[in-house]
Amino acid sequence: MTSLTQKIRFFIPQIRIESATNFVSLLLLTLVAMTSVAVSQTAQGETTGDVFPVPNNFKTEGIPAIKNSEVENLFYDASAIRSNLIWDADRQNRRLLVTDETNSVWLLNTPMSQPVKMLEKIVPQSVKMRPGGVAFAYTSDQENEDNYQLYVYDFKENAPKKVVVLTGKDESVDSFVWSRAGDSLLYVRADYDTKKTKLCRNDLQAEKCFATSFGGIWEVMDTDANKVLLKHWKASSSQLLYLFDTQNDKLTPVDEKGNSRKAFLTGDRVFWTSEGNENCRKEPCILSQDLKSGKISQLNLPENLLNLNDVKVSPDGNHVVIQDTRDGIDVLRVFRLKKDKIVKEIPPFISGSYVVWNVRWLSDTEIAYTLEDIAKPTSIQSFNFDSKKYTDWTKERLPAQLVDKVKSPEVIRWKSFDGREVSGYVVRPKTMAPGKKSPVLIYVHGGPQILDKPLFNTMDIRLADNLGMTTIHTNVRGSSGFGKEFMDADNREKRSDAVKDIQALLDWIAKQPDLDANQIYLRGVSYGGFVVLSTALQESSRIKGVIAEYPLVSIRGYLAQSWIDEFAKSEYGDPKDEDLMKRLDALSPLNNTDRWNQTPLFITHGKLDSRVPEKDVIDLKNQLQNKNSEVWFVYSTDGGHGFGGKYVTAAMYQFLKKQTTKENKK
Amino acid sequence: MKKLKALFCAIVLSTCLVGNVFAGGVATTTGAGFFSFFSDAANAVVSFFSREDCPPRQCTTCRPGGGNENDPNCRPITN
Repeated sequence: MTSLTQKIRFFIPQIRIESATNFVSLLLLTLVAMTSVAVSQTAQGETTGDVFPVPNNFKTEGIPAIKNSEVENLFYDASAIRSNLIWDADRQNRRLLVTDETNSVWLLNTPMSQPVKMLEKIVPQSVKMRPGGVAFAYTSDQENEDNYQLYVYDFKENAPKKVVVLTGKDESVDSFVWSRAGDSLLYVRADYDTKKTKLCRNDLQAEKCFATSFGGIWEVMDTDANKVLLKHWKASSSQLLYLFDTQNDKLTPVDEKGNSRKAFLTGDRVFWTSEGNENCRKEPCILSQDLKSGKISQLNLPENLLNLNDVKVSPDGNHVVIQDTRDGIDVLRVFRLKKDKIVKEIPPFISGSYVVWNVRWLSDTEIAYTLEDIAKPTSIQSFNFDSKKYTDWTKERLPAQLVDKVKSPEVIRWKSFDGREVSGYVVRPKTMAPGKKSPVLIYVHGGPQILDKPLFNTMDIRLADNLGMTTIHTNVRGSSGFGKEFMDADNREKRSDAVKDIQALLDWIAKQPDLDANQIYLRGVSYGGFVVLSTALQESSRIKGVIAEYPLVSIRGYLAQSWIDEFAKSEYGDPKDEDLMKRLDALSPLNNTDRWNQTPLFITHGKLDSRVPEKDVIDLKNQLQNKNSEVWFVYSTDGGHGFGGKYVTAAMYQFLKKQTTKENKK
Repeated sequence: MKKLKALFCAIVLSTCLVGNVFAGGVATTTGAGFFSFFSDAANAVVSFFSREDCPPRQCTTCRPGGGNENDPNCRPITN
């Protein structure tokens, strides 16, 4: 007792304990105070612990503190999900290089075995197994965004080694291939500063670049002996094909008129897919050219083939696998080849509707592929059409909170302002309260030369499950997968037509009995961010909130960057064309914040973003803040174009939750 | 008056002493649990946009450590 009294007196010298009664009173009071403070502190502790932390590398503005308890059901333990995709195959040893849900690269030695980790937390741009299977090469821009370095990972050394030293101001190894013998790498060094591309060979000891330099962006497609197949990215609808002879540095055109997306060399022939040349005209087709005679022949294709998404010939040249895509669903078809003619089709072997990724020949009769759908994460399977045997290489796994939450996606088509048919797909919640309409999130992809496919999509599932929200994925004009005319339909002065496609979708939504036309939100990434911001400018009464992730906010600002090349100009226009720039300014949210009608905005930007000028995004954000518009801003100090993460997901969810709650109260 | 003073001081003292202990304890425990549960590993599928119709600098948007969380089209490129 004395000791305690002394202690209290030590801390509070002005208190004199004059009697035992007083002391007991004080002790009781202290206990009461302690209890009350303890209760208060427990509550505060929960508040502190309940706050979903803002990562140290993020700065936020206008985002209220997020309660962990409100968002924790969005996430799940990493071990609860398994999702694997093929990077490449080692035919010699019948094994696969795969990736997973943790951004690592693994070697899968046998089906369903425990994979061996090769690379951790590196997302390569491309991974290619060295012929013979003793190593693999990959490109990564881990060191400097958009400047890809070339590495070789030797299985004996168990470590990657950089094989090219980039010296230019803005250089990048954008593509590479192994020589057939696997003794060297052929790659292009694109210099975005000088707008020149060099073709180089590296025998893993030294580099030798060929004297010929190419203007613009080029891609190395394949090589065989002294021939190198190259693609010139003139425009998304003008991918031109050339053959380079390494013995005499001579560049010979293969197809300068058609749009050649895929190409490869087999023996003394070059094969390629094309569209829009004198042979193929408007239909996609496969052409081959005899390299000795120069004679071009066209592969006979079945009439019901809609789309040539991928074409790969078997190692022995006797079969070809064609990936046909219809409304985002992939169909694999294998055909027997005889004298470069299709003579027979192998019966279909994939039942169900899936998105298929990265098909690889494992032998002359076995192909490996990655499968997924809206409810199923990716898994790897192979099929041997000789033995009719299926082999599961990996099996997907998903957490309980993502199971059975959405309906099968429905493909939708709507007529735009000019009568053009535009499509997308709808992901609806599995269950809806009777008579209740679903709020809608319209998603616009980046690119724009990309096709949005119905993939396993955790965000769609989370929004459907937690907010009863329907997501509509759009493939507005400019998207790939619908022919080159469609891909060009948003170029330059036609940019506003893509915005009108979304406006027409708003009309379509208004006619749907299960969708709430009074609760429409937009979400766009990169270029898609520009489309949604621009749409919100035009449709301030119908749009209730906008999410623009690392968006392009001004085409003029985008085109002013030093690395912008011919490809970007063909899509967006010549920055010297002031009339066009003024028309594009009229679409740009940056130049028109006076027309922004207080639509709540969630916007992100990364400091390392090398595509979108930071000042434009900050300027837009500041202008809207000055108008007292609701702006939720996430800035990453070490993220680039495409950054995201759990905090962004949680904040985006809270943003939508707040807006839907607000609208429901009206 | 003295009793009031004593009460006031006792509350201040208990807040200073006890409050810190509880706050520290709770924050530490919850914090550690939080970060171990939400590990750095991403929760969904990975990598890059499928880009068949544009070069890397135009259409590649997914990045390590997050693209897959938000970007439904993040997949390795086909080649």
